[in-house]
Amino acid sequence: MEAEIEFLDLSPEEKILLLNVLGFSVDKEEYIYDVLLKERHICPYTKKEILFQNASILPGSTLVINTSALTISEYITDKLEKKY
Amino acid sequence: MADLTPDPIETIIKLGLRELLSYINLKKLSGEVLEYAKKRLRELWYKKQYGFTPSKDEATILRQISQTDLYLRLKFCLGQHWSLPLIKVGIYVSNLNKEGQDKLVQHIKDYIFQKYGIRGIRIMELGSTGIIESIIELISDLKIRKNYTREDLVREFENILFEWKEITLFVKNEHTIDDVIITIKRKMEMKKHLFFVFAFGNASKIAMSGIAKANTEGLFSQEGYLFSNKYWINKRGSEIYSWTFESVELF
Repeated sequence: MEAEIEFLDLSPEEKILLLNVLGFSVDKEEYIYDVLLKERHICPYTKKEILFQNASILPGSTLVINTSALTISEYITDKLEKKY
Repeated sequence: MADLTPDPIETIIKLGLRELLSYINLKKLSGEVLEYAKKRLRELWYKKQYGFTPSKDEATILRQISQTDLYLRLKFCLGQHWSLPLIKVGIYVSNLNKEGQDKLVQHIKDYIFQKYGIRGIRIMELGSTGIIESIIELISDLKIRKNYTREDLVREFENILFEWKEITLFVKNEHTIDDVIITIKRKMEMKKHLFFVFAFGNASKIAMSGIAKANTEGLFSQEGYLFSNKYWINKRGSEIYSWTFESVELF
């Protein structure tokens, strides 16, 4: 049976709090900042920096990604689908 | 008098992730209690499959597509194929109206091309016309009918993408019945073991007449081809007719 997933509706303050808990912050220019590496976080799919308003963390992960239909789809393929 | 204020730690333990986020913000927690609440948030995050995204509806639909029979059938045929993320987006695109399709494809086109090349763009085209579902059905049908291995199916699928321009005929209103017959004949002479004819709306009458005439004249049996056809209405509201021609060697 596949894991139950839930997409949360969060306010910007709640998103920032959650990001903070997972080791990220938002810098002055509104980009996602990796607190541990002390640099802007790079999306593993687009290989680009991520604006806060375009950030997603999808179920089963602690990585932040740039949001588009394709990156979400890539993520689902990588993390949520069974590997036959 | 007893202190009836609830212990924040006890409250934190009882809350779910969503409620805990609200609680932290509302109560303006600080110090050790805040650190405990954060630790608890992390635990809850790791425990359940939560996520947040500015495209919640899109993410939900893509997740649903990944669980449909159509998609799972293709995945079963192809395994962990590079195209799977694009296929999901292609199916998603096929369910949008024209305005939605144009906007989405425009938004991700550069990224698709940069990462997947022309084959990626082609899958989007298959998606926006709704033809992608026919291709998936064909691939899963080949597995059953021919007992193809995964390698065979991957090769067939990639051939379809690679040769797409050469193995398709999109019949248009300005075409004549003879144009249809000549083009189909040419594809058979080129020994394409698989090719498709598509027609939208009124052009379907021209395609249908051409294929019927060629069939009556025995062109397909003479060249060793069988065909099947399908009709559906895509989300743009266009009627689509498709004919799949296969060399008898493929049967």
